[in-house]
Amino acid sequence: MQRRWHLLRHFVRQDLAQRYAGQLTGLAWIALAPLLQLALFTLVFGYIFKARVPGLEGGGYVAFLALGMWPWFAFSEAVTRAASAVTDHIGLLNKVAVPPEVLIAARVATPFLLHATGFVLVLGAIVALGTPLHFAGLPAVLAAWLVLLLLALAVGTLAAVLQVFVRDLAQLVAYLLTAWMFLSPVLYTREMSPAAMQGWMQVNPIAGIVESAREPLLFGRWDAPGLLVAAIGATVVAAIAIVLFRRVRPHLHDFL
Amino acid sequence: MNAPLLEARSLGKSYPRDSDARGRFGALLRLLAGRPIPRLPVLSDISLEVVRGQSLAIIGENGAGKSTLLKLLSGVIAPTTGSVRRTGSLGALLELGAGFDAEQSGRENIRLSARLMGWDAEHLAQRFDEIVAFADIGRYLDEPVKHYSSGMVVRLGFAVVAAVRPDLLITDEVLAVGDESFQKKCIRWMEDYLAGGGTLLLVSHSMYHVQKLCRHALWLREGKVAAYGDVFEVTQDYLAYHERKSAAESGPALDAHYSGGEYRITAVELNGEGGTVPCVLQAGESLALSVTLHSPDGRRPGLALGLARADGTPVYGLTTDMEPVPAAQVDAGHWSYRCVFPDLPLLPGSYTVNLHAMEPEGVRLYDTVERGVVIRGATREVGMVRLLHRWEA
Repeated sequence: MQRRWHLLRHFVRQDLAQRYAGQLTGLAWIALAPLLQLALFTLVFGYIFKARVPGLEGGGYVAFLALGMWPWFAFSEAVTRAASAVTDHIGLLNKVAVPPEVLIAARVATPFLLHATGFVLVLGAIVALGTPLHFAGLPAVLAAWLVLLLLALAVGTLAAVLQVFVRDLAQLVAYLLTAWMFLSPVLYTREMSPAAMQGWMQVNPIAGIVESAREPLLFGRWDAPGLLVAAIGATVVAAIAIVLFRRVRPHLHDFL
Repeated sequence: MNAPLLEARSLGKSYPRDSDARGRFGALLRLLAGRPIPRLPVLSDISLEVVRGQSLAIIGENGAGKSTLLKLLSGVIAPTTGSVRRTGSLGALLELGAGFDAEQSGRENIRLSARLMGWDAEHLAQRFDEIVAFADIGRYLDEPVKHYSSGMVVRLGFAVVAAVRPDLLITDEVLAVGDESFQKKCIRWMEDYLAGGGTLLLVSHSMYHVQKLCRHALWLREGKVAAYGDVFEVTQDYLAYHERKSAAESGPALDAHYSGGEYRITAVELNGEGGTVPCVLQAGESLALSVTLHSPDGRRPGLALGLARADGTPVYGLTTDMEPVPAAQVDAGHWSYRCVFPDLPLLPGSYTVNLHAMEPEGVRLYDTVERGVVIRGATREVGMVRLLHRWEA
C-alpha cells in the first residue's frame, strides 16, 4: 500500500513536471490559465450573451459560471486522461510491475490538484470583483469536491479498462463528456431546465455535486440531500468499476 | 533464512487466441460474463523455488517462453494458472534490460526504478550520483530512453540494480548487450553480489555465463520444464539436445550398402555405438572410433579424422597416411580402421568428430561424416583441452 502511494506520488510529480516544466510560462501558467478562462467566460456569457441567473446581478452570473465550471473542468480532464492511462503506458506495463490502478489514479489526481488550486484562485478573483461569497459554505463545497473525486476515479477506471478492449473509445469519451456537461446544471440552474429533464437531474450525480460546489458559496444555502444522492450514485459507479477492474485485471496484460 | 524468496507452483500462461479489435471486444464480453476466453498456451506447469543465496539460470531456445516466465516471476504479468509467491525486494531487468518508460528521460526512469525497488526519494537523492557514475551514459541522462542504444538502456538498468542491491535480481539476457568492458563490470558486480548472499535468476544463451554465475539451471522447452537441477547436468543435456537437433538436420544417414565408384565411409561406431545420436562421455573417459570404408577397387582407402568443438573450432586432426596405421580388410570392397583416444583430455562441452574417406594416395577427400561427442563433468576449467600440468612451489 505504501509502495502504491509512493508510486502515485511519482507519477503525479512526473505528470506535473511534464506538463509545466520546460514551458516558457512554467508554474505561473497554473495560476494564469484559470483566470484567463474566467475572463473569456465573462466576455462571452456576461457581455455578449448577457446571460442571467434568477436572483443574481450582472457580475453574479460570472461567479455562478466560474464556481460550476471548475469542478467540471477537473472531472472532465480527469476522465479524459484516465481513459488512456493504461493504453498510454503499454511499454511500461509490459516491462515493469506497475499496478495499473496507480497509473489511472495518477491521471485523475493531477487535474484535480491543478483545478482545485485554480478553484481557490477563482474564489479570490470573484471576491476581488465584488461578488460577496458565503464562506461558511466551504465545508459543503469540500464535500462536493470529494464526491466528485470519487466519481472521477470510478468513471476514469471504467473508461481506462474498456479502452484496453475497445481502442477507439477515446473519441467516444470526449463526445460523451461534452454531452454530459450540457446535460448538467453547469451553465444553467436545475430550475432553468425543462420539466422533461428534471428526472434526469435527480439521477445525474454531476448535478448534485456541481450545485453543492457552487450554491453554498453563492447563495448560502446547501441542498445536502442532493449531494447525498450524488454520493450514493458515485458509490454505485465506483462499485461497478471495482467489480469490472477485479474481473479484468488478471487478463489486462494479455490485451496490451 | 531458508524460506524461499521466490516460489512458483504449477505456473501456466496462455495468451488470447484473438487479439484483433473484434476478438478483444468479444473477450471483454466473455470476461464480464465470467466465461473463459479461447487461449493459446505459452507456458504450462512450471514449478520452481529459489532460496536466498541461490542462483538459478533459465535456458532454452528462442520462443521457449523464457521471457514470459521471467515476467510472471517478477509480477509484470499475471499467470493464467498457478501462483507465484515472492518475499523481499526485487530488481528486474527484463527484455534487454529495458525496464523503462521509453518516453521518459533516463533521470526519470532511475527515479521510477528506485521507487519500484522500494527506495524513498531521500534515499535516492543520496545515491543518485553513484548510479549515474555506474551507468556512465553522459549527456544522455536527460534524453528520453527511446533515443538510447540497447547498450545504454542496459547500463542504466544495471546501474540502478547495482546501487539498490535487491534481495532477488531477475535479469533477461542483459549481458549480451553491453560492450566488453561493461559486461566485465556487470559480471564482477554479479559475482560480488552472489558472494555477498545475493540471489540471482538469470536468462542467458551463454552457457559460459550460466555456468560461471549459477549453480542451478532450468531448461525450458516449448513452454515446459525439460530439465531442472544442477547447472552442469542441465546445460550439458541442453547442449546435447542441440547437437542431436543439428545432427538431424545434417543430411542423409550413412549408406551402408554403397557400392559405387568412389571411396566412401559406410559405417561409424563411437565406443561401439552406431547411429547418429551424440556419444556421451565423462571427462577423462576413452573414446574409440571404428570406421568402415568402401573401396571401389579393393585397394586400402585412406581416412581423415578431426575433432572440433561444436562451434567448429578445430581441436585435433590427423590422416591415416601420416604414420604407419594398421587396417583390417573386411571383405573385397571394405576396409576398417580403429582409432582409440585413451583418457580423452577434452573439457566438458559439445564436440564433433569429422570423418572423411580418401583415396589410397591421401590427396582427395571424398565425403564427410559428422558425429557428436558430448563430454560431461563439473569443472571450472576453461578452454577445450586439459593440458598436463603441475604446480610447483
